Amino acid sequence: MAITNILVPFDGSTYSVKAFNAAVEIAKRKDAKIKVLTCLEKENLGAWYVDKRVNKQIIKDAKEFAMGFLSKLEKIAKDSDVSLSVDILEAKSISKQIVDFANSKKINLIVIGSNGQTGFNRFLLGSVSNAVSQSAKCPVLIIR
Amino acid sequence: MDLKNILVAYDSSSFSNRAFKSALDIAEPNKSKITIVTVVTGIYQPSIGFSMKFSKDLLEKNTRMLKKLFSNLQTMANKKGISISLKILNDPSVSKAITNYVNSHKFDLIIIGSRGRTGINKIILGSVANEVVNKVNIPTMVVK
Repeated sequence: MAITNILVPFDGSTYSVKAFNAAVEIAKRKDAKIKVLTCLEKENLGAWYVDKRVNKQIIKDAKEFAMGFLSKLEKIAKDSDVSLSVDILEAKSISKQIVDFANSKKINLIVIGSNGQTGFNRFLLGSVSNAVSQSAKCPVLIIR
Repeated sequence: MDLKNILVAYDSSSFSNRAFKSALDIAEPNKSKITIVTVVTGIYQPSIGFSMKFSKDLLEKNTRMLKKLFSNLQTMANKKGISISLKILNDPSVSKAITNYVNSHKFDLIIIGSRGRTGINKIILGSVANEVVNKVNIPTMVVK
């Protein structure tokens, strides 16, 4: 199993930061590239029935916010000489988007945190990491 | 992330062989030790009744078979200069035995095949893999 492309789904939570650090360490040893993916949920923003422009504004703000913390990651990757690319995608289903992205970009390994922004029980898997570990076609490393 | 002790859940299926191979891949640069854990379940015998007892003959047969398989794995590991050890657990429930063993010992990573000897569907996780991934409190890697 040659690891050349590592995908880190990132949502800014402490678990995903841990996952990113683990991915950087693996990439250093294996000379692999890291792709960081942030998914923004498109539907269910709650404002679409008032005004569609509100929705667009929310997505725009979220994108700017995401770029803010992703630029911090670029710094970390540069310090340890790992090539990093960052993607921000809008999706209806986050887990499905992650799996589709992994399939289309020839990812060899997904490194994902066990829980995300929501969820309080650290002994069970979060819904997204559960869905990704079930339906991804490449090996999945779950960091706790 | 320090990877000194790696655990591989092994049941001689093709998926667990792949898991072992990726464990070798990860262990090589980190100089880590690999422990292979196998669970021999109790065999239901009508003469015993509904209690789950181990039939001694079958247990011996399974253990002999496992040792033979283990020596194959050992030659593979020796080529790469990695030390591996075998642990056989006796428990009626495979997933419980693995999670209890992992949580009571100090391992840094557990590698498991996405499914084992039974099951046809390659898309979703097998029952043992799913339960182990959910209940273990260390990083987990699911190999497909």
